[in-house]
Amino acid sequence: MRPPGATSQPRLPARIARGIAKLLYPFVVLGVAWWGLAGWLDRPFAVPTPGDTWDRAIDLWRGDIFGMASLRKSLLLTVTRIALAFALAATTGVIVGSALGRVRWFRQMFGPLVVFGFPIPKLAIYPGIVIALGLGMSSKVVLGYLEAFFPIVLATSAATSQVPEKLLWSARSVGYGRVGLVTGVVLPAAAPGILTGLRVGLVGAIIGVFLGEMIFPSSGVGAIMVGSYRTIDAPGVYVAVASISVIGFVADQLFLSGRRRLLHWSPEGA
Amino acid sequence: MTEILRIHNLHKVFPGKRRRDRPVVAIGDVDLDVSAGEFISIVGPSGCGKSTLLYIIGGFLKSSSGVVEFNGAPITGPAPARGIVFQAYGLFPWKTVLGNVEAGVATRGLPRAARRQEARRFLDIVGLSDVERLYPSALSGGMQQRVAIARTLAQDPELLLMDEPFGALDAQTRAQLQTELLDIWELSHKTVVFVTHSVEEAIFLSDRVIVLGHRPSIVREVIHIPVPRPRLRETVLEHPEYPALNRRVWDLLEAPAC
Amino acid sequence: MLTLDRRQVVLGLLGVAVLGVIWQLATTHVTRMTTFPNTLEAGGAALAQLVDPEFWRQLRVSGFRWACGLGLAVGIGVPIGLVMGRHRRVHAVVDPLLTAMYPIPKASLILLFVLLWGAGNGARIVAIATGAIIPVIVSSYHGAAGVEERLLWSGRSLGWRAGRSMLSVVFPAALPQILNGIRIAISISIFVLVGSELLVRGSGIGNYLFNFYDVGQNSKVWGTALALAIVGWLLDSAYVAVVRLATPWMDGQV
Repeated sequence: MRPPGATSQPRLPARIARGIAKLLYPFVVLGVAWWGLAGWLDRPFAVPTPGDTWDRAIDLWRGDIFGMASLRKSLLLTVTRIALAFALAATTGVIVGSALGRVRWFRQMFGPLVVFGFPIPKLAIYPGIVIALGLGMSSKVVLGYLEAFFPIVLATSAATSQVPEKLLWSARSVGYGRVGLVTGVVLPAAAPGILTGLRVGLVGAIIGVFLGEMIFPSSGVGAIMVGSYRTIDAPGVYVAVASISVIGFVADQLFLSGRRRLLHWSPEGA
Repeated sequence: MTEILRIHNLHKVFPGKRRRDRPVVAIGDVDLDVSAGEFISIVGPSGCGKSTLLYIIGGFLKSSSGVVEFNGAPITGPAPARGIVFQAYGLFPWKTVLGNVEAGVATRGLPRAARRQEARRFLDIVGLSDVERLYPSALSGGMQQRVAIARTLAQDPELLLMDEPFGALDAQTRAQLQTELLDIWELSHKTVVFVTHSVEEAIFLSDRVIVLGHRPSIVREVIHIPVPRPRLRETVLEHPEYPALNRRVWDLLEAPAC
Repeated sequence: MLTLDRRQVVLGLLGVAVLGVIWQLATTHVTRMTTFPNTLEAGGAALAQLVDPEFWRQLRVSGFRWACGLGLAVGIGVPIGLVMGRHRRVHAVVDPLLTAMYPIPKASLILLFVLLWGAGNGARIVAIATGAIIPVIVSSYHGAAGVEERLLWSGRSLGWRAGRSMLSVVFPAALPQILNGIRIAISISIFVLVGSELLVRGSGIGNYLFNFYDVGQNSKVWGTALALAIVGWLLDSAYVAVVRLATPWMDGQV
């Protein structure tokens, strides 16, 4: 007799095929819609054809467009900034969030500040940040960091404060010490909520860095988008949008599969 | 018989939730002595502090005043020697069934290989060997409680505390687990302090039933259950003194607060 | 969470004070940070903006765009989400599209829309709507999907068909989730609004702020930013208060 909880799955190749179809289908739909729209509108300065966009992408990749950095270099820069911003936000966010969730005086003192900070449009402060830190990498990473930090802190704070007390008591009665309780019980128990917050934070980092590159363009994919826009190079604009979309989509999917792996024990973590 | 748990003049007060609320006296004045190898139950009306009493014995809450001693020494915090089984949230959801029981075994300081073997032994005792690789979320309520019991037994505690462990289960599963618990207890004869709402359950399982009164609680009466062991459900229900015992406990529970 | 006891208030204010002091010290002593205004300057600049009629005039221009964009997102997003919640096939079709669009920075799409429609209000409103629509759809979906089956059966036994059920059962039952989604959409739409105005100049509060940057009036840059932050916070608080007043049966779920 099968123990309860085991589910029957369709065979592996079928599952993989279905999964890939599910991933690709929106791009197929968007691609077809785009192609149809470009053909019907016939305004290459407003909506370029996918063909023109692809050609421009190749030009940009090779660095053949005058006045514009190569797509290859820009992608690397943008991705590096995003990774940096997210890594910083994730570590500080989880630590601060855990403190907020579990240390009463800390939450009472700094909780209101975090709640206040959340709905502030960080973009409004961005020019101020650039005044202080200049046009280089750091201001864009800071913006990405701020956009990522708040959702991570809030989600971590909520998740760590909701760990069932009895679970902690069970752990103490099997000998978990103070540190062990935090790393071995609080964090695993709060993991579903924390990982959801990290996902939102990842998107925040992407948005922050990209918009930072657009508003004060110096390098990166955002600079390509704005640079193309200013020279009415519609295919260039679309190349940039497609690039950031791919970055975002891939990052999000990687994150989701990582989350599934980490939460394989959880009934809803699948 | 050696006294393993000694409670004298125990008093527990909780401060009110907000500044202006009055403090809540959860436990008024409780005396309780438990000898090694005894199975005692604590029953009482809702809110009378029976769970609080258990948590103080477990070391998770501190008493406000009074003596609480385990093997002659005051209780200062949780310890593997006083294992506890909760009604829910006792298992680590991210560990497998075997992993959870191993966590209990780990308190005994055995080498790695022996740990796994020991864990399997306890899983076998509760009859769940074939689900050792599953996660708690895949199990039914009754099975989860069995795993919780296995884990706590694996600690080899001197004192086994049980906080309404079968309270969330349906009647049939509950009856089944009660019988299994007694079977396990007959083998090991650990000292058990069992908190429950159910009068029938208390009488069926224990040597003595401690009846607490309304908040602020005191021990209203200690009722000795003369049914011989090992006990079968029929022998208890058909015992000549059962109806009187049952009635006595219910009367005490329904009596108005002093 | 609503009951404030004295300790909470004291500690909360203390937290703000600590932050203010740290900021003051950092901006006056740490070299990299001296170009930030210190606490007193920042506070003063923010107040100066809040009493400046030009600030409010620009805010009104932006506010119009924001309201239209948000309204569009809610008007389209809620029905889509509700239908997704009750019809699995619709969900299967729409959900992957949403997942694919989720990581794209919607504020950047303003450039695409301007290429299509020029730099007027139309492009800006559409940009704001695309940003705000995803949280609205997702929360409406979750609200509708979580409706207790038995509520719908009650409606059926009264003879209600699908459309009436949607309006009289699904929508009210999903309301807490929807209102929560709208709250999130509010902060996202403000973000897209400011972003679009920083990217495509012309008018509006973002443009107003950027102008100060262009002429090097740094304290006014900060003042406008903080004033905007205060307005954003007030808006969020006002929303929560209005929702709680208007829906007493929901018991503070928003």
